[in-house]
Amino acid sequence: MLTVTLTINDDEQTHTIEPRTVLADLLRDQCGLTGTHLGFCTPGMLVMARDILQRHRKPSEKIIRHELSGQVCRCTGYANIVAAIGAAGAELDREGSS
Amino acid sequence: MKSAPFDYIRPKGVAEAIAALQQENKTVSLLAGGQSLLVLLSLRVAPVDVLIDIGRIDELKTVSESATHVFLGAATTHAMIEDGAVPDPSLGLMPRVASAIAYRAIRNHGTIGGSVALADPAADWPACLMALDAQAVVRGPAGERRQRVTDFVQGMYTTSLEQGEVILGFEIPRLPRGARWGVAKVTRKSGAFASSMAFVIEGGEGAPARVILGATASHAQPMPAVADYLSQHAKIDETELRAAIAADLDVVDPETDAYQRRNHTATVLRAIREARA
Repeated sequence: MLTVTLTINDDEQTHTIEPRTVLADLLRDQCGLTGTHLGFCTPGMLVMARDILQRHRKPSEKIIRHELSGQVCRCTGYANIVAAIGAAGAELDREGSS
Repeated sequence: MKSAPFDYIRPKGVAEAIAALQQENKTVSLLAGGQSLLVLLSLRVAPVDVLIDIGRIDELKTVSESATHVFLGAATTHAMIEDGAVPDPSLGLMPRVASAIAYRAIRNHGTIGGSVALADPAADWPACLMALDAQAVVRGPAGERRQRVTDFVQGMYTTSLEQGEVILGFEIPRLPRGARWGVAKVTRKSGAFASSMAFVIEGGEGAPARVILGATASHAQPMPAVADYLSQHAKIDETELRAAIAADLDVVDPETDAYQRRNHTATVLRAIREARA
């Protein structure tokens, strides 16, 4: 087993993993960050997510789904991607108002 | 696929663009946002020898407003209209329409002038500008002219633009206070062109209703029987209204099939319901 330390959203985390574990698997299985699957759509999703969060303060699920409608995810990870953007929006909103 | 080779010119102003359009024996096309044209070039369905990129000409991004009208330059993007970055003459109709055009990446680049110049039968802006009774302002070698969008768009991918002419923008009358609008479209795939779309504008200082149907086989067109019915009836009898819709459909989309007639009927009814809600 290996011990790795990584910084996720400014938060330092240490995890113990099997050698040759893929980063996406670590993020998904041990960090509970399920917005990425095979990763093919991820760059476009990230660019769009940034744009959504710049234009909408704390976007609702309805807004996120409308705004994401141009992005295609082949492993139907939409639910988790929508949730991830919603969570980021809520977090930004908390930071903005505190 | 990739596009066939073409020459690319980026003129500094409208006068230079008009001059660049005067090329003998060559197929010349203006490029604005490129969200339709570049796809057509890549599919090699629109052969072009020379592409003239007018998307960055400041003159075409001019926006002005008066008490009665708003002028939007042809290179105004859908996103600018969606975001309220330009004045809205339409009591919210245009931002709503913009927000439902394809998806955001396209709206960032696609322009209102490009949409009308291409005159795709299912494009949103020709129908919307007809409903608002806007005028296209056009400049060419012979000078400037203006024409109602209803007359400017003449058929599938067909406008009254002559060789050498450039759309400068659109002069859009402000909807009077109290006017009501409704819009509905049927789009089976997210971001795809609509199978049907309808615009209804009613009321405001006693003006007659305007009803426009888009995504017909040819181009967006007024539905005068429905408009008359709405102007004359504060209370709707749905059987009579459907008869008026059927009468207009026989004229504006005569060759269409039963499915498409149902699509059209549904969008017109939904738009009316929204306008009267």
